[in-house]
Amino acid sequence: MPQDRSRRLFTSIAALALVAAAVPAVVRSHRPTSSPQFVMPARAGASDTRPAYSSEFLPATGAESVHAATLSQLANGDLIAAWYGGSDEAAGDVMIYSARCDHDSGRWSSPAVLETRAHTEKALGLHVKSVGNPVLFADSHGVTLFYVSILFGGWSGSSISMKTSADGVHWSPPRSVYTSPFMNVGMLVRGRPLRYSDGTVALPIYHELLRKWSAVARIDESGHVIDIVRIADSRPLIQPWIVPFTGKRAVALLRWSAPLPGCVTLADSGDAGRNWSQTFGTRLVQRDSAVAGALLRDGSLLAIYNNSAWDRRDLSMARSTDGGIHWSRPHPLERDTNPDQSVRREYSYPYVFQTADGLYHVVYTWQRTRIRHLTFNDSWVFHDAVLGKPSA
Amino acid sequence: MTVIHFVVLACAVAAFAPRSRRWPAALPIAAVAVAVLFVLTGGRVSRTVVTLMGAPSITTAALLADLALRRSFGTSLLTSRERSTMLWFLAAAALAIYPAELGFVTIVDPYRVGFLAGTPLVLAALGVFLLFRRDYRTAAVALLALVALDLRLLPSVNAFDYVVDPLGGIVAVGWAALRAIKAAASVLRAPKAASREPVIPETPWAAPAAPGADAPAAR
Repeated sequence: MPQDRSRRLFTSIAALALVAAAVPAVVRSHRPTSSPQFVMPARAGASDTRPAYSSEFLPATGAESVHAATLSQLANGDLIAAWYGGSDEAAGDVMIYSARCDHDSGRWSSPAVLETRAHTEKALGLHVKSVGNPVLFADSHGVTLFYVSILFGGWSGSSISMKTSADGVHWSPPRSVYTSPFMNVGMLVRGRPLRYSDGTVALPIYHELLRKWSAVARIDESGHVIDIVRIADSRPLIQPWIVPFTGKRAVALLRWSAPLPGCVTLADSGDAGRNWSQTFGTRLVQRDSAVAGALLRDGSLLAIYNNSAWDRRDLSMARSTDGGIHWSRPHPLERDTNPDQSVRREYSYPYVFQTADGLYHVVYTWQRTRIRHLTFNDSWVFHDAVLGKPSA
Repeated sequence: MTVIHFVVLACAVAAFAPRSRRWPAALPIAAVAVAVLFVLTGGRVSRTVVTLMGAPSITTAALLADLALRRSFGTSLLTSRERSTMLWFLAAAALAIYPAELGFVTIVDPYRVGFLAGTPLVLAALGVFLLFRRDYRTAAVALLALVALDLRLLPSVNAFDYVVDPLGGIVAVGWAALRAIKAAASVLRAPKAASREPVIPETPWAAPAAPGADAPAAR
């Protein structure tokens, strides 16, 4: 009998210990704002009437091959761009470069090395084969660089890393972003992150290990992934690019990543990305190339994509005024019909960012040797012969 | 490299290190010491080992610790029943989470449940259930997993990452498959074995069974 009593006492104390151990995790996981909204960018320069358009190349790095540029705006108004370069993508000598554009002079600084394979490997304590796909996210809190670290194999053996900076000059050491329970391998990043009203960040991610799929990870202030919402589809749709129409309503543009031609595919969300609709196709034909999007002043949607079923020689823009159902005819930004194959005739991986002055900045890979930077405003789009008629 | 990486690596080295008959613990202990030194130097091979390990769970760490203790010191951390419970749990969790994670299942995403605030409470309830089943050490593993989640000993905040990991899950699925095959084989063999037994005719004068004959033998 005393044995039974002591066993019951032990069981009760152990049960209480189990419940008590669960409480801190429950409290930490519970967030007061369980349904945050996207923070919409402040729209200045809405009264611009004169169309504005310009283009330039970002300073050369000297790397044999450059790709996957990203752009953001620091709190002081400077633009910051990053891209990767090396002998080839996924090579061991690839480095992530960065350059800044002074908001007063409009001049770009010389590119500086922002991250290397060796530095990432040392900081993470993991074997890192290469780095790539930088994504910059800057706001009043500072600037964060998300990028891909290839741990083994090709792109499908990647994981996501991040580093932060208050000023864009002094950076923290890189750390892993834990996005996959499968050895944290297979996840990549490419699309522009968005801030939620509760301070967390929506980071578009995609998976390439064995099967391809897309999701949006929600990252808290300490860099931990606190939720991952899938954009459910059995087809190979990757590199989601989120364009919020309001704090709650958003659309995700997805890259068709199959060997055969497909189309730019979309998914809707009415609750700030906590759930996504079934995907639906558009008439924007493409094959396995990145897509980017932006919300124009009048609420219409702009997509920048490779308008080709076979290659990346045509980089175009199209506009939709009904959330992506009907589209204008494509307006080419680059269209290369030169038969000369001595250079890689590729214009790809567009990344679009709207600065506080209302201008849209697009950076993209130009023949794999340079990064091109376009700037335009709403009026330029509205006055364009093709994009001005969105439902043609 | 986390504390759990160290524990798992040490236990794995101890469990699979060669041993001498005279001093069965000597070589495993020496191997663990060498492995820890090797990891602390942070060389390229050590980084590769850590990369391939992923983020081991508390369940896998406990099972490896049990294996290491059994093989090196002849003493076990878990009873056979507790070991089986944990392996069945690992196999079920791995089959629920990883096919969806790899994209073979798209309609549901069980891993997302691990982010919910209520999931640690479900794990605690599971631990309480194990306590009442008198699987004390399995319940202790559940408690350790919850404490590790509280302390964020792994880079993840998803509760499932503390109780299941791919390496442990794959081994457990293999073990469960073998158990299932053995069980199926014994079921298939059973009628043949029964047919070989001599048929004893029913006799009205057969002695009645002794009281308590059906009760299981005392352990």
